Amino acid sequence: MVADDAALRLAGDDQIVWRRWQHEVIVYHLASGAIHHLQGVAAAVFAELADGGPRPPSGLARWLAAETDLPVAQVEGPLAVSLESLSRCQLIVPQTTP
Amino acid sequence: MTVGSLDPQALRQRLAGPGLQIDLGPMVTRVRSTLPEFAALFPLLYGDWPLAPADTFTDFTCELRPTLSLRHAPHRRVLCLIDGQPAFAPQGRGMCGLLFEWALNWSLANHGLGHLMFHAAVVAHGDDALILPAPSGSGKSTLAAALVATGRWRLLSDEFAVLGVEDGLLHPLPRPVSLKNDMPRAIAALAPDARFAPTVPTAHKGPITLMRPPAASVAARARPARPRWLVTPHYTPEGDTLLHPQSRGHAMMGILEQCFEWGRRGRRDFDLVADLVEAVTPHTLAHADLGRAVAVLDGLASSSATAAEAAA
Repeated sequence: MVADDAALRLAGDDQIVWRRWQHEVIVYHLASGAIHHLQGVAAAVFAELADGGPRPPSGLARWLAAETDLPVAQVEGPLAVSLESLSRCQLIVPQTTP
Repeated sequence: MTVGSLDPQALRQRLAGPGLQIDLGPMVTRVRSTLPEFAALFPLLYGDWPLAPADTFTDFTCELRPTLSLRHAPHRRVLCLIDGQPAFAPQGRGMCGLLFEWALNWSLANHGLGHLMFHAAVVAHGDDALILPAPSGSGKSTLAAALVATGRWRLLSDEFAVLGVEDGLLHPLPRPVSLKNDMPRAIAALAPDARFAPTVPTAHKGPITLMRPPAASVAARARPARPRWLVTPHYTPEGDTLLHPQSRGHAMMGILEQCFEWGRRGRRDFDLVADLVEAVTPHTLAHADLGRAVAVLDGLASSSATAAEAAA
């Protein structure tokens, strides 16, 4: 269950630079110098936010369920883990309105 | 004029006096030494390298100087100085060749401006480069030496892949190849004309033998190659020789782990490595038998050439 349903977006171009290949993304966090190798759900979610723009966790859960042919309830757990991980690494941030 | 064309007396005098300057590409180095051992070794390993003009700007000076020590016989150890500062703990005189290579490695890793460098051996088939990125002990130097020994590949570099920041090409730095244990014997079987420095026992890596880079590779030192293949080798003594495709993400992470001064140019460094990974076909190679490994890598180049011809 995703508790906070605020829309999420990728960190800005001034903070991260990334390269995407099939099923994996390498992200360079410019401020920290950290390199992240995303695979699996994390890579898919990152790519979806890159292609589709900001999305709340509930929307991502519906999209992931459709992509995997699984019930939404079954993908929410892995999705939450990936979002928490991406957020902790400062690769995604809440969408804020000006 | 090459290092090897100097008569031994003139070479000793130059080394003991103003020093010899060599343009390595990424930097110009001056080497000085009064050690007769080094005066004998240097032309053996660098004989095909041309001397840089005396008025060339020198990026750094390496001096190999004998030391006195009460705990050892006088003049039996050697001190390596980089720009006048001691760089490593004094070593036995037999280590003078390795000390010079270490000094070059240290300076290149820290001051190789205009290039992104990472730990890898690089050889080229024509102008297509095969990059062998891996930590020590993976067999990359032996593989590179064996490929070069066939005469079908030229040596670009042993310790360093030198990636041009402006052109994204791999630039040659055909310095001596560092071979471990009994690998010189295996290489000599492939290339009877190969020349080796005396084997030196080391505490951390076992016996090491420096192999002189082939003259043809030194002659082509100004000819960069485009990235074409990337093979991460793993030496598996009991296993088969297996070439497997590798994902680009894993290949990129492997290179980043081997980078020196990573991120100095920020996103430019990231793009350089990512572009390189996109330009190559990444693989991993588990290898035990040198002949089979060479055949596999030759096959990789041949199949690419065949595919290119078919596409044309």
